[in-house]
Amino acid sequence: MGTEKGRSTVIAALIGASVTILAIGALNFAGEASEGFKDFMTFWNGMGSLSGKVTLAYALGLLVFFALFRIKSVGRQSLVAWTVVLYSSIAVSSLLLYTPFVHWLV
Amino acid sequence: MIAWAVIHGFLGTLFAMGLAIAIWQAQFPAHRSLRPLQVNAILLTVLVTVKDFLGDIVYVTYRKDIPSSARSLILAGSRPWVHEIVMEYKEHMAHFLPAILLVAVAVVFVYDIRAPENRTARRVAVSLFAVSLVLALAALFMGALLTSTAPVK
Repeated sequence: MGTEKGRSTVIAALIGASVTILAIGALNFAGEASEGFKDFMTFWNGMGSLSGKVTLAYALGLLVFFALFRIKSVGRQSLVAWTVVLYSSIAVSSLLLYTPFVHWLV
Repeated sequence: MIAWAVIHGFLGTLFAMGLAIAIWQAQFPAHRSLRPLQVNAILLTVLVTVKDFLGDIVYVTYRKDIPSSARSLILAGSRPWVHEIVMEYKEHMAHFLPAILLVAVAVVFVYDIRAPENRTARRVAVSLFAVSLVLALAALFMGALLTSTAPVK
């Protein structure tokens, strides 16, 4: 087993990555639902709204990681459970990036 | 810009090959030093970040609001879904990979995945590399489809 601090780092990384990936999908969905939000997410005209979505998603993920990685009780969480959460986040986010599904909802 | 697109594709191929090696290193770690796997995991994280950054540079040219841009040509052609579905997914999904790889780096540095009691951590590490490989191969296929429809110039 890794050290308690190390285990907290891994679980925090899993949660941070899940937040980042879910945020990319959710922000894309919000951008498709609202043109104003899409414009708000355009941090750089060259890349369009992708620039804001990715920057914000990684900022959120890093914030969550740094908030959690020193908390000892985080390390006692189940590695398998949070890995499943990460893969579920990938699946949900992929759905929120799939244009026909998004257009069906909005 | 063609050069950047070619380098982006080349790095994508290199990344997929590196992931295949990482899966093998993580799946069969017994009696070996973990250092090569740890170095590979860090290199893959740096590689995918650089690859994404180059992809974003190429994307700026791809989406230029001019009639000769790749996006304009695809949308005006017979297969607009290549942009509307494939590119829309690819441009976002590519940014999942650095986050997944950072988790893999944490796992291979924190746990001695050779130890029998860390079998779960070893399986998690293998699955992280495997999911990354699936996403990387999907991105490579989508890139090939986009380039064959309208290459970025």
